[in-house]
Amino acid sequence: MTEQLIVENLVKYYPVKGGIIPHTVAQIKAVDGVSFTIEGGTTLGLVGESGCGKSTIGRQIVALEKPTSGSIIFDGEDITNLSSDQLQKKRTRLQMVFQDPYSSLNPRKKVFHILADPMIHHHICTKEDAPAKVDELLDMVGLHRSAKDRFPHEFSGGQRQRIGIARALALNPSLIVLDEPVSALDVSIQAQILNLLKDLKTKLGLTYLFIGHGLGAVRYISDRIAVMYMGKIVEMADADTLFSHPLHPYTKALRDAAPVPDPTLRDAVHEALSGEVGSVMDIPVGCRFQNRCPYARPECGSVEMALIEAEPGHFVACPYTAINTQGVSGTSTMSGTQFMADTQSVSGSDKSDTSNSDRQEKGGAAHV
Amino acid sequence: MEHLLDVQNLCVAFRGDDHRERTVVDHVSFQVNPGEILCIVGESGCGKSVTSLAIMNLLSRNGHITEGTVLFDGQDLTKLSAKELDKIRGSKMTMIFQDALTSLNPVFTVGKQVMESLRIHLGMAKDESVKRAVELLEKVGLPDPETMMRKYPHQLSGGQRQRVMIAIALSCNPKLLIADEPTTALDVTIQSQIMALTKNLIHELNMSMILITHDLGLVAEMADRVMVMYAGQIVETADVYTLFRSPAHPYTRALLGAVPSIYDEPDRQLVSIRGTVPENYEFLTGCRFADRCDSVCDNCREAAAGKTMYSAGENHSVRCILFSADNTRPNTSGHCTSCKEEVTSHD
Repeated sequence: MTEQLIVENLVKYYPVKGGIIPHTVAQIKAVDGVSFTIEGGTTLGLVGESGCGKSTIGRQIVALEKPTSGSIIFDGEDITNLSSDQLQKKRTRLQMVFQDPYSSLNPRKKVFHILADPMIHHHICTKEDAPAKVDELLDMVGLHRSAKDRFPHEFSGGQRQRIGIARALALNPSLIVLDEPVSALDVSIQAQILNLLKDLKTKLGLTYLFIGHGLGAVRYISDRIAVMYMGKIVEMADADTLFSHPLHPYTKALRDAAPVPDPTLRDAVHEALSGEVGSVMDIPVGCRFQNRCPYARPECGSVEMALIEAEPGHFVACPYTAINTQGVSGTSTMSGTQFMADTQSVSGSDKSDTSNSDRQEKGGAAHV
Repeated sequence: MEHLLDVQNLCVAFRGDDHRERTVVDHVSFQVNPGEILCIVGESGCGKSVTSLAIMNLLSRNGHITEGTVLFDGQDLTKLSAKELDKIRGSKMTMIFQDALTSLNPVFTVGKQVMESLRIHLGMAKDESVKRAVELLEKVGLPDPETMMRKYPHQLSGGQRQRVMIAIALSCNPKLLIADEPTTALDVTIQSQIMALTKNLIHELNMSMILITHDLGLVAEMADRVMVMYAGQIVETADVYTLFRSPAHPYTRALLGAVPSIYDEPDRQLVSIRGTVPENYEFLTGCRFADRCDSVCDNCREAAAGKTMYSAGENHSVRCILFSADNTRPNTSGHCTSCKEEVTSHD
């Protein structure tokens, strides 16, 4: 299977302006050296808590924003350096579905125009063919054909999300970024949309990047899942292995924190995670999870954690996982020191002004 | 056992722009026992929040209780004057909401807001209330409570704000805490912290709690007893283990089938409920879930259907004619004999 999307070392910093003469006083490191690939026809799930940078990645991939550095190679071409004309052509292949079905549809356009205008603009169809194409799209997403003569406000949340999906499908994309498409919907409607997305993927051979915070939904739709924490991927594995056999302490905490709809499991002892997510303006040196990690050790504060392949296809940004899972230090054969060789030491003074090239080197170890 | 809260036949109606009354909570009856956590679960618009606001008498101006009684600690809250209610609300019965930022006053410090209810309801002197407020903030797990007293709500994170809300709610040792989607706006790791904290405090202080949520995972984790609402009515009540083990109402069954979990088998197919939650549901005759139900038959659309709750076991009642005494159809995962061919036999 070929890789449809290769993201390498993606970095996105947002400047924070301040001072009497406005200048950049700090940077929000929303995404800080993220690399991953998505194979054609598969789904990568991206999970993490709010502010971890998962939506920022989605926006970079559909080229709504330019990354600070790094490359996004889609269908063999780096889309970060394209001119706007070239990007226009690429955009038909790269589409996005947004979280909020209320604000992502133009309230003054009828559904027909929401779906037909982009197709006509991109010469996917002519004005004459448009009605037939729109009917086809509405059938595909399970809406009645009469929907095309109505305005977005006349629909319920689930139906609006179907319109959003139809709009994304209108341009025959090969990759769709789904940014929390079911978070705003009721449980019974969520299942409808998730099943629809799954069916469309098989029918049209689509590739998805599914961004979400509901672990159950992400697990349901994804082939592979990447877990993000404060701008970095901390673990990435097959959807089945990630939650049945998590390696990173954060993934474990996330799994245990997610309420399971089965009361017989509620008395199972979970290690509750203490503390809260830190500020992305003030990222600690070394492991970003060290303040909350139940297994934190002094070395965690000095070593930048790179993503390493702990098991085939299972990547984790913690060198001590083997020890953590066994709960015994020193006896493990997959010792921490062996992994340490792969990671690079960062001195405290580099904290605020690590240069880009430095970052790229570090991220380089995290190739996937 | 004496019930702490006894709600009987509660009906709430709202007046729309067209001056027409719409009944959004329809003959809801339930009880909360001392020390019990009751979860009200349902989708948006099912009337679960309105029920809790009606209990607290906090309905907006265009809404009012049209029928029913709310007996709390022996007093009928629907008959009390505003002054009498003020004595109960915030002291014996308190509430926390989804959005802690809008529930806290942005221009007062956290300390002042925690002290307010202490001074009003318990008549504490200033020094005493400061001491008690610091204790409370410590109890809800806020770091460095003395500094926290001087902070304003915007300086806190979402999880911290919700902890402050809990501190305020618990300040007067209430008997009942109503929590309306308290963790919906929070991240999952923070949610688990807050819920664990709430559960511990409820048990420690021997309080009762009504938790309103749409998250069945949270219900499974927190509830002693569960009440499922659909379109303004209670459709099923049972203790939490029974509800998840043998859900009776087709809606509850479908809802449980629609929730993805990380412990699912890889090839599990989610069951989606067709259609959407009905609007203007007060005009529907018969069962309000009939249009979306897989076990529907002609009887479901008759006026009598959906009027009564039937017993589906001990302390387990359900609003579905499949469970009526004269029903001959199988009532678990079966289809109606008169409409559908396929019938699975009932054990």
